[in-house]
Amino acid sequence: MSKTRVVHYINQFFAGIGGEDRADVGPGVVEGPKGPGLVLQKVLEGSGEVVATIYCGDNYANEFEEKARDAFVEYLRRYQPDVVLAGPAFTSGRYGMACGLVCATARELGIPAVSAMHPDNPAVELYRSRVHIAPTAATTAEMLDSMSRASTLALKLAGDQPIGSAAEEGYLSRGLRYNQVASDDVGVRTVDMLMKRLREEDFETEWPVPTYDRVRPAPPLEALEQSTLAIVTSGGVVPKGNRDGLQSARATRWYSYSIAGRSSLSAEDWESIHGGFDTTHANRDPNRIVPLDVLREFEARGVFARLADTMYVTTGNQSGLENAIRFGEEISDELVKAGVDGVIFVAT
Amino acid sequence: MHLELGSFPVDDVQESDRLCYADGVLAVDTEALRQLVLEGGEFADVSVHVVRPGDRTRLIHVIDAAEPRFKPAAGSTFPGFCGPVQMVGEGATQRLAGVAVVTTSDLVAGDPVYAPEAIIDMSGPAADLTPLSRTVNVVLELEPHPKYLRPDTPDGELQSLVYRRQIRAAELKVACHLARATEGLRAKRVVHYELSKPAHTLPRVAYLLHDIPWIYGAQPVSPQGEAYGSLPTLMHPNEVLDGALVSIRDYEGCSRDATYFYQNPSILSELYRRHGVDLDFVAVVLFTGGPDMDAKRLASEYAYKLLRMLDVQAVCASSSPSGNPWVEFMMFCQRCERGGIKTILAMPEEVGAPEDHGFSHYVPEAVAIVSTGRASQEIELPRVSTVIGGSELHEVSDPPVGPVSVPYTSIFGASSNIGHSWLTAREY
Repeated sequence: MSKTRVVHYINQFFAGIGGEDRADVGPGVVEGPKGPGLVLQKVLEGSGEVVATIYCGDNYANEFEEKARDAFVEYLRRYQPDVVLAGPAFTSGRYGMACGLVCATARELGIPAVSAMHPDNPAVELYRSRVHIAPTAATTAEMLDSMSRASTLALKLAGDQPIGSAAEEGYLSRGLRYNQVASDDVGVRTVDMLMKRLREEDFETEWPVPTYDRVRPAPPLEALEQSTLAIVTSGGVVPKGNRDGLQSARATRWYSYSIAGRSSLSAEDWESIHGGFDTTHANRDPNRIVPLDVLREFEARGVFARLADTMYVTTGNQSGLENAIRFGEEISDELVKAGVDGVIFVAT
Repeated sequence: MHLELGSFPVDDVQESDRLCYADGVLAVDTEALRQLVLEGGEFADVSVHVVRPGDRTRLIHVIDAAEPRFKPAAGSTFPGFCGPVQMVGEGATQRLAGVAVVTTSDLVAGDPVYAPEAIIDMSGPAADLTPLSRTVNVVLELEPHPKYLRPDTPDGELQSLVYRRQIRAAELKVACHLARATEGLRAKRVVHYELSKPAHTLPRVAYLLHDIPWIYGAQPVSPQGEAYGSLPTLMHPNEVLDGALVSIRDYEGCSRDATYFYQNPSILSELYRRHGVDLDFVAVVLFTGGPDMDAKRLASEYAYKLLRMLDVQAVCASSSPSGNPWVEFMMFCQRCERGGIKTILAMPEEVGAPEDHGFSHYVPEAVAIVSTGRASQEIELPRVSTVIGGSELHEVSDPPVGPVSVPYTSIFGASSNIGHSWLTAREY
């Protein structure tokens, strides 16, 4: 049997190009294994061969996703692998995102793909449904174990073998549910679960109910006419030209801009770079997204006391939950420092 | 209450002209069975078949199944159907073990336009999914009397409801008749069922059965087919084991509450098995919600109250199939968990594609669920030699002889949470 052809993906750090200062390096490819690929080659033993290693800077892969994807397509077509293995990315969010992107690109070309990362890596939520992800520890200390789990899964996928459940095969659930025949019948399983609960032992539901974070709404402002309000928006409204490079989708950052002394947002100075809707009308009059004009009127009439000088902007388009939660925490810290009592949150 | 259930194991059933049980072989008087079924004038015809585990045989349009039972000493077997309404669950009952009477029938007027299929395969992959593929089955292939093809009775009752009851009456009559072959014989094995007081203190546990069966023959639905919003009821587990409950449901083959499953329950038997050892099994609560939110709230509050009065720490609950009844089932779960009663739910995953979570309704308190499988997934059934029950499948245009792909929904009892079943679903 011929050896399974594996293409490995790593970031600029593991490729030996450099750390954070070189995270903007563009995609490239070299023949054979490199860096952690040497570990991969070792765990593949006689059954597989790392034919090429694709690398890319983490910032580049996240900020120029389309360009990175085009390069990955070209490399994958050139090396025709049986399977792609990306990472392990451990807890590194941007590296995880890049691994997810490479694997998703491979899947689109009909090539099986496995990534490896820590279950808390933000890329898990985004890519788990499309890509098999082998869980890893948080740090590189367990590189060998992580690589070994991922490569076992990769060989199985490449060999077109049926893949068992997430628990059996040790990958992170893709959120798909399929039937299996259990060895114990429903009565035994039910009463076993009952006894575990009665004994306060660990038990595992066979069918988890979806969990949503429930956010309790803040109480209403007691005296609006004495309150300072601020604008927060996920509408992607930025100074024209988008000098900070806010992403149009899957934002990983937020920015603050001064609106001090402005009576409205003019189309000459502002635009929405949001990638999730047609921005034609928004960009003819950005006040349609962020109604600064109306808020200034209300401020002048004394409906509320004062509008804060800073507005906070991100893009709400396919946002990862972890990033969104972080934005909330970071922005609310700023708001508290600025003495803001209430927020007009303008969504799109 | 003390029930003595005597087993007479059946290894084979043979067609004969005389009813007889000897050496593990049941000889069946086929012609007498036909006359028993036809005597009331409810059926145009009936064919009797004997099918065995391993046969390349497929039963389709299955309605129900029952284990042959007989109460010898002044008891009522299947009260409300084969005998007077009289409490069961006490005294001696004789059972033919390893055999089932299975009924099949075409649809009649008033049956749902969308008629889910119900299949029992005697071999192949689907035969691993239900105990009724492992029994020797005496199959009654029923043909409804033409009067059932008119939409309503003169009284305005749905013909399908009247006919449904007649199917059970015929099936139970045959089941009772067959078990009479053991009259005067000594059982091979006798199991005693009694909720004796445990020697030491154990956690008190109840079983909640969410369903609308016939209870001692009493009709649980209105003539128009609406469930009455009845209050939850206490039962002794022996009553369930001894023929007090008879299946009324005719939809969703996979989660059909066959009468056979009440007689041979899974969760109830397991609670009994561990009674006095790990737990103190105190009672069964029969639970039915009504059609509107007030009725559902009342049912779940009332069931919770019964459990509080019983002073239980935990409850195992098996659900009705999906949809509307899940609302009261989940309300019940929420009420119990908030009131400090630990709740373990056994239920099928009836809705949705693999990527859907599969709940038509849920509460965050439903933290302990035993899944009896994804009904909407497809299963490939192989080609068989014989099909009994009809010439076309409901909902599927391929010939029933196979090979044919059907949803797991169609596999009779595959997702049963009352009887024994092994199907579950896992995360992939």
